[in-house]
Amino acid sequence: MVLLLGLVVLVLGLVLTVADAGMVFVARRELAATCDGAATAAAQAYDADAVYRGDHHERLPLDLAHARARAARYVEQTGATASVTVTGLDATGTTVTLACARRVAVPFAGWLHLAPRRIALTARAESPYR
Amino acid sequence: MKRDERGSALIEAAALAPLLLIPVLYLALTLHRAEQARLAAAAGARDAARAYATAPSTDDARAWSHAAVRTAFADQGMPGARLDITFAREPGATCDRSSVTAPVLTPGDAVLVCVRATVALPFADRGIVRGAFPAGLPVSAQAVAVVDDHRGDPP
Repeated sequence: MVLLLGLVVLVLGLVLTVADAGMVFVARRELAATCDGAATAAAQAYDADAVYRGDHHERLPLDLAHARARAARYVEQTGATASVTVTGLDATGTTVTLACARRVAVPFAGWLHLAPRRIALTARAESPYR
Repeated sequence: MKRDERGSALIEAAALAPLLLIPVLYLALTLHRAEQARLAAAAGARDAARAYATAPSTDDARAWSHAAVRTAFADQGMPGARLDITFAREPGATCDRSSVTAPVLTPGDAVLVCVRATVALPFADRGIVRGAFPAGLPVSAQAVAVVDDHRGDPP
């Protein structure tokens, strides 16, 4: 009887641990969606001055400040609690990179007073303008 | 243990094990299904928002978005999920029905897609118990996509 109860507690613990891991995975997918959306929005922030200067060759470069503003506006629109930062442009100025992070409170581990996990990822998007 | 009680623990365990382990197993399956549904809703909302923002017309946008959400749920093995998909125009929109304004695909606009779904509990949608448990697992997700600045005008 004691062994059986021990087995049930063990299985329950495993189930709840896997459920927590699943919640972290789902939160990661949601963060990826937010980050991708912000990257897509930022990749449309082309450098209007470069158009008039005519100094671009194949692809229209992006404007970093404009890209940051667009990404911030996107995050505001989604109401997401994630931290989204435009970290920079590549050497050609046509691909924007974002770093995104958020905290995930895992309910069952929370009962054990374990700290919320922090998940982070990066996203890149290329300017569609040529 | 007395001589005449030999083997009774084994019988006790055999009788109690299903009673204790089956609910735990059902809990595991239910949690798994709930997370699958959340994943499907999140992926469906994201794909639907992007599909809406890149569609040539609002009619196509709605059809593409519905297809994207249905595909996301089918991919997770839940093609029979009850789906409710609404669209709203940002800024200021929420998934609350009272604030829904139809998006119009104006360049620079943001489209909000809200997905609400109810999926059946494990084994509740098959066999003789089909329909006996109308309640399901409710999930919801939302996503925003920005309409490209230099897209062509919708027809």
